[in-house]
Amino acid sequence: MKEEHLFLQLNGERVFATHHRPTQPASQAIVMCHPLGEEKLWAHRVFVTFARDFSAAGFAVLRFDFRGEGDSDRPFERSDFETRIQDACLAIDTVRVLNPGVTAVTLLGLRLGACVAASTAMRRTDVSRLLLWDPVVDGAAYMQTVLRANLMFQMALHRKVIENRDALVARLSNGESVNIDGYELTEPLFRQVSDFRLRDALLHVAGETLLVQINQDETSVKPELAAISETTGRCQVQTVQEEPFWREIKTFYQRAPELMRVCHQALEATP
Amino acid sequence: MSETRCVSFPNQDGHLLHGILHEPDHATARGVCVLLLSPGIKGRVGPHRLYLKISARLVLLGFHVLRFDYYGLGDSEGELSERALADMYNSIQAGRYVDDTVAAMDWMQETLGIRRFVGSGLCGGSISALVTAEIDTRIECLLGMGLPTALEGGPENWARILTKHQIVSLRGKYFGKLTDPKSLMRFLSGKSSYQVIWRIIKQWFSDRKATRDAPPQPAKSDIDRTNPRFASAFMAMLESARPMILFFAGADRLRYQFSENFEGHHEARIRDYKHLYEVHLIPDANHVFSDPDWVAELLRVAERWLITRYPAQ
Repeated sequence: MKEEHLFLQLNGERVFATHHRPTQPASQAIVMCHPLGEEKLWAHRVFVTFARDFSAAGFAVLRFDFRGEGDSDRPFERSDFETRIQDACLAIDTVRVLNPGVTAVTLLGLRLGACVAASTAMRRTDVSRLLLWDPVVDGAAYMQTVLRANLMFQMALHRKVIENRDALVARLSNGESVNIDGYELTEPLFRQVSDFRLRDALLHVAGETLLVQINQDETSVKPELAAISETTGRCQVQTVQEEPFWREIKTFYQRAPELMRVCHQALEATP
Repeated sequence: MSETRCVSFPNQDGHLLHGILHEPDHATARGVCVLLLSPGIKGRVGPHRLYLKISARLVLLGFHVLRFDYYGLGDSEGELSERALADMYNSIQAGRYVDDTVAAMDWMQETLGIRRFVGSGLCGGSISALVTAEIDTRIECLLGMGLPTALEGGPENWARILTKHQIVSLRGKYFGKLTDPKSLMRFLSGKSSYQVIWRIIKQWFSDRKATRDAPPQPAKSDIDRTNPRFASAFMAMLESARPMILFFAGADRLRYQFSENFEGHHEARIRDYKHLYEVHLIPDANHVFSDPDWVAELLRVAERWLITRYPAQ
C-alpha cells in the first residue's frame, strides 16, 4: 500500500487530502469525513490508523481536510456546512478517479463529519454505505454545546459569563463571529448545522447505514438512535466501547480496535 | 509568488515524515527556514490552525517555513508505545524528536540548500527546538511559544512541579474543602494528594513567617523542578550567543514554571546572559493563544524580532 498527500483543486482553492492506495486495485473505497475544529485534531491519529488498516485490507481510502480546517485553503470563518458537503463530493469524485475499479463507496464520518457524510449521501447516487461514528443527531442541540466552549472561555478570562448564549446567537445574526477554541464561528455554519436533523437526512439516503454509538462503558442503545433506526429503514445501530478519542482525554489514543472490528464486519457485509 | 507544497522525508529510522513546506517568493527569500515544530497530538497544523496563521505571515516576509508531523503522530509513519498522554508529552520533552528535527534540517539543506534555521513551535514544539539546538547549531535562534520547563505532572509527580504561584492559588481551594464531608472522606481514605497538601501547608507557614519576620522576598526555588534536559539546552543556547524570544501566555502556568522553576533556581548561571533572551508576556492569553488579538500580538512581536535578526538580502 502507498500513501499520497495531495492538494485537490476546487474552484481555485485547494483541499488537502491523503490517498491510501492498496497494493491491489480496489473495488471498494472509503472516504472519511472528520469532525469539527479541535475534535478533528484529537481524533486525527485514529483516522490515520483506520485508513492504514483498511488500505492494508484492500480498500482505497481517502482522508481529506474540509476547507477552513487542517491544511486546506480558506479561513475557518468562511467555511460552512455547505462547503463541507462540496468538499466531500470532491473527495468521492477523486477516489473514483484514482481507483477506476471501485464499485462501492462508503462514506464515514465522526460527529459533525457524520452529518456531512449523511447530507452528502442524500445528494449522490453512488454512496453505497454510511458509517457514522457517534453522529450528531440534532444539529441545533450540538451547536448549543459548541457555543458552550465560548462560555467556558469567558469564564476563564473574566471569571464570569459576559455574553450568554442568546447574546452570542444575536452576535452571529448580526454578521459577527464567535470564538470557539480559536475558530471563528460565523452565522452560515451555525444556521446550517442547527437546521440539520440526522433522522430527516437518513430518510433520503438510499444506501445502508451503520450508526455506531461510542461509549466508554457498556451501555444500551440511546433512544434517539434506536428511533432513527426504526423509522428510516436500512439503518442499524451498534454500540462499541471506546474512549471519546475526539476530546482531550488522559489516554493517548492511536487506534480504536472495537470500532475497527465493527466497521470491518459492516464492510465485509457490503455486496 | 510564494508556494505551499506537500513534502515527505525519512528520519534516521527510515520512518517517512510528512509535512508542508511554505516557500517564499524568490525575490524576497532570506535563505532562512523557520521550523514550526509540532506541539504533539495537534500535529503540524497546531491548535486552531495557529501554525497556518504564522506560516502565512512569515512566508510573506521571505522566510521558508517547514511544519511536519513527528513519527507516530499526525500523518507520519511509525507508532508510539505510550498509553498515557502525559507520558507521550514527557517523552517529547525528554528529546524524543531531536532526530526527526535534525532529519528535517538535513532534508532542507540537501534539497534547497538552506542551512540556517529558526527553531520554533508551541509547547512541545518549542522544547523540541531547544533540545535539538543543544546538539545542532544550525538552529541559530529560538522563537518559543509556551515553552515548558518542567515535565508533565502525572499524579505521582504533580506536587513536585507545582510553582509557588500555583500553590498559592490552590490554597484557598484546599482550605475551603476542610468542611466538605466528601473531601474529608477522600483525605481519610487515602485518596488525597498528600504531597500537594503538604506543599500547601509548608508554603503557608513559610509565607506567614516571611510576613512576620521580614519584607517579602521574590520567589526563589531551592529544588530544581525543571525537565532534566532543560537547563543544559537553555545554557547551551546562551553560551553560544544564540538569541531567544520566549512568548508566554498570561493565564498559563508555564510562565511561572519558567520564572520560578528555571530562572529562580538558575539565577547565578543566567545572570550574565540576560541580554540574549527576551520574555514576552501576552496578558490574559491562554496556553494556545486562542483569541485573534493574542495571535496578532504574537505575530507582530515575532515578526519584528525575526526581521531584526535576518535583514532582507
